[in-house]
Amino acid sequence: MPRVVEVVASGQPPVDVAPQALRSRRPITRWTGPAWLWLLLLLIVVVASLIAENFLSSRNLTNVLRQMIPLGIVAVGQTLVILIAGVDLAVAATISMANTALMGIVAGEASNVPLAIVVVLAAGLLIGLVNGLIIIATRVPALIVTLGTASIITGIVFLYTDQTNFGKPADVMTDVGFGSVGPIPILFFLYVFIAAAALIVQNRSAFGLHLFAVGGSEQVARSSGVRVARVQIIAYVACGFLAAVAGIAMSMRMGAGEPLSGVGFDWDSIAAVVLGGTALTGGRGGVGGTIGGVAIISILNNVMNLAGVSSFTQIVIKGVIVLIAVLLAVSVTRRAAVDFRDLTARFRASGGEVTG
Amino acid sequence: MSLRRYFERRARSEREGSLIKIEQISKQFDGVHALTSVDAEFNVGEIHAVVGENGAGKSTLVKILAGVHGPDAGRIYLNGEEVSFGSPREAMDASIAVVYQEPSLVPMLTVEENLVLGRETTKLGFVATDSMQAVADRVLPMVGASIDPSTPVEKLSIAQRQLVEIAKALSIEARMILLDEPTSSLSIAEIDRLRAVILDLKGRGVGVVLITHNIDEVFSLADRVTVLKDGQVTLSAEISEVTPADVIKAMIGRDLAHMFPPRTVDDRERRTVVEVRNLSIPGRASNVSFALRESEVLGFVGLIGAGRTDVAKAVIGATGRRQGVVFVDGEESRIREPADAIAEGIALVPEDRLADGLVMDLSVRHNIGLPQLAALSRFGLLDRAEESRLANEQIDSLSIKTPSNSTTVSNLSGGNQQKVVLGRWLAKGCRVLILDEPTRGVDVGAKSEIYKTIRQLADNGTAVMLISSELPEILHLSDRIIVMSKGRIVATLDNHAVSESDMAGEEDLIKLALGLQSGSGAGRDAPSG
Repeated sequence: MPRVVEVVASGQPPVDVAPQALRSRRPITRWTGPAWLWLLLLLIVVVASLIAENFLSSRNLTNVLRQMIPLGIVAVGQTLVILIAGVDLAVAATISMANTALMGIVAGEASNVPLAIVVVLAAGLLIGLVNGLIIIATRVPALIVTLGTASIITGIVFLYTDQTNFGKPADVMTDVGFGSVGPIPILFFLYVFIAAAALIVQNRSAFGLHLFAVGGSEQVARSSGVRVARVQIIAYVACGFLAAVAGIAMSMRMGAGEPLSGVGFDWDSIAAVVLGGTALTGGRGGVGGTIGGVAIISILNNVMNLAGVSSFTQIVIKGVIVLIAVLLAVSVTRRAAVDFRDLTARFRASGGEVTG
Repeated sequence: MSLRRYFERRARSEREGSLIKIEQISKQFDGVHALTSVDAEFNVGEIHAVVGENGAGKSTLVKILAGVHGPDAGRIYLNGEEVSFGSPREAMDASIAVVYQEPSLVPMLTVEENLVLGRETTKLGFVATDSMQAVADRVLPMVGASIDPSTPVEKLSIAQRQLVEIAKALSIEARMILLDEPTSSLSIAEIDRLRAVILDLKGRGVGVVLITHNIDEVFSLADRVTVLKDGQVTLSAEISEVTPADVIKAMIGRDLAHMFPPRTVDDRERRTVVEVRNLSIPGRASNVSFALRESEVLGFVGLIGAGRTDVAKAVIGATGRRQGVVFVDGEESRIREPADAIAEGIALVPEDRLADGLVMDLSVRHNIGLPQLAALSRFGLLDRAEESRLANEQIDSLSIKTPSNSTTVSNLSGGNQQKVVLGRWLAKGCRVLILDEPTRGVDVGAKSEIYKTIRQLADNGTAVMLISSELPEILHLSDRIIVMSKGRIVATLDNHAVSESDMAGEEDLIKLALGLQSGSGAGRDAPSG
């Protein structure tokens, strides 16, 4: 139908300014996560130091860093999976597996440590691979698939250990686990290395770009020529692998393999990721925010211990605080997403046919 | 086709070759024939429009050409050689680029990242920033986009995103670019920009396939048109050989003349229902006065931003600061917010009805009953029988095509969804309906049903204020037409007592809306207000 305006058909579309002149730096939040997260962390540190006077002691800070290690490592893996709009509930069981298998194989002998680590890491990779393959082959939601594999792994761990403490670490493990360089625990460097590597991969590699694309829209990614299934598999494999690494790191400070040692890491890691501003719907957020989220959760755990809050009460308080923080994070993230949803709404309003 | 044209075309295809030729392409989805034996030829340096109603098979055709779907039968030739695309990637490798109707950019990634997504140049797995930037610097100027390439796409306007999508398609050195409804969510000014880009592409020798249901676009841009109806080609011709009427007829299977219901031509007295006096909204409208009478359609034309929607919103109290008086039934209105307007029987159906007007996942029945759930309830429980009766009344009187009143609204066609919105307000007992672009994005067949409904409403006494950018719609439906430009009423035209042949034409309206002319013409009052 004719519209009110006549077409002025110039052969050459106007170019106002060259793109080079307009190019600015890419947003720093890719690396750091949202600014409000770090303000929240600062606030929590201030409150923590008011509640518990020895919170800021160097010994306690070393302790906080040490507690941060396994959660941090597994949360980095969880971030990759949540970025592609998935989730991995099997990380807790994988950590228990890593812990008990490592202790069982080592059995107090330092010479067994390399083999044990290789076996455990391979098992982590395998768990991730199985998760990824089932998810892409069946299109069953990741939540259900990983809940299932989590149950299988937990069962195998119980069968293997007969639900009792199991195996024994070698001295070299505890040396590493409790050792530190100045105030910084040795294994904290492992966490820093993993987080930094993940940040660089996320922001600089083609795979990182594909993570956001698959999470933002599988359809878009596929039609752009991204090998979607491969990206998904790699994300789950990385998550399984990092969960095994986290289990190994955690074991370094333990006296035996405990079949339930991984309990809680599933929800804590998801909470850390979401707290860090990564959307559960995928495509938005990243490892930078997760680092902040991990710090917040670790400090909460620590300060409640210092304040002598009973462990049951701790669970309740942590649940409430994480829930509130997550709600805030989600509402902030959602506001950023509204603008884009508006486009989809306008597309639908245009009566477009949606196929495929 | 004349003999001369035939030889011209043959010479051209010998010189340049048809880029893509499809023969006897068929495709079924779950036993439904989406395409049946479709033939078409797409040439380089040519804009080829593919038109058809929703569901005619346009998008399926695009997806087959793009390698998203494989055809069940038929052959595709690229430069004379038979090809089959197993994936979008293979089509891309063959220099076929697609701009899908669905948004196809990743919101969080930057413009340049989106441009190279899936085809990044990498060094040891890392994205080579310099080559990524080079791509952006090359293709963004081609679409005339002045955009910072390092902005996340989510920060761009819809029009800018559209340009980026085209730039992305161009980034593969496309020789054929498929545009699936590229203008469906753009404003008029943005559409003009896009048209210039499309013509420029043609000038560069790129073959353009333009999927659209906008006839105007076909005739202002295309060199060739192919019409699909129910998955079959009903017309394929050089644009100079056909008229818009031919194309519409091929699309809907009947003549344009039947698109619009006959207008009741009479000069009887109509009671004024709503009167607006000296309405001013800072920055939007100044000194607007008009009267809306029962049993009439009052059309509002003007460019986007002329203040039409603002005036409508002011009437229902949805605008904050305003001056002037609104009279309802001769008394000064106490409308402060939309709820007051609804209580007075005045309803606004907004432009973005699917986002603002309907709950897509609820049934037809619930959507119709929505504004009066309290009235439909007894002891706090919904009286389902009463709600059902109310819905059935509207389904019958508006002839809403739905299997039952419990069908989910999202399963209805665009035209029927629009009728559900209308039915809701009629069920509520509205005497004044304000319709903002009621046929936007609705296909031709559904449009004519909406026109019939609007006419029927007016004939039954409803006062209709019709805001539309589609001139034939305004001209054929309206009893009176108000032309607005830059927040002012520049002309009021009376069609009541005027027969079709004496009506003002589209050109008159365009000139008025652009502020080019305020002169004489058939059936035109002096500018009021």
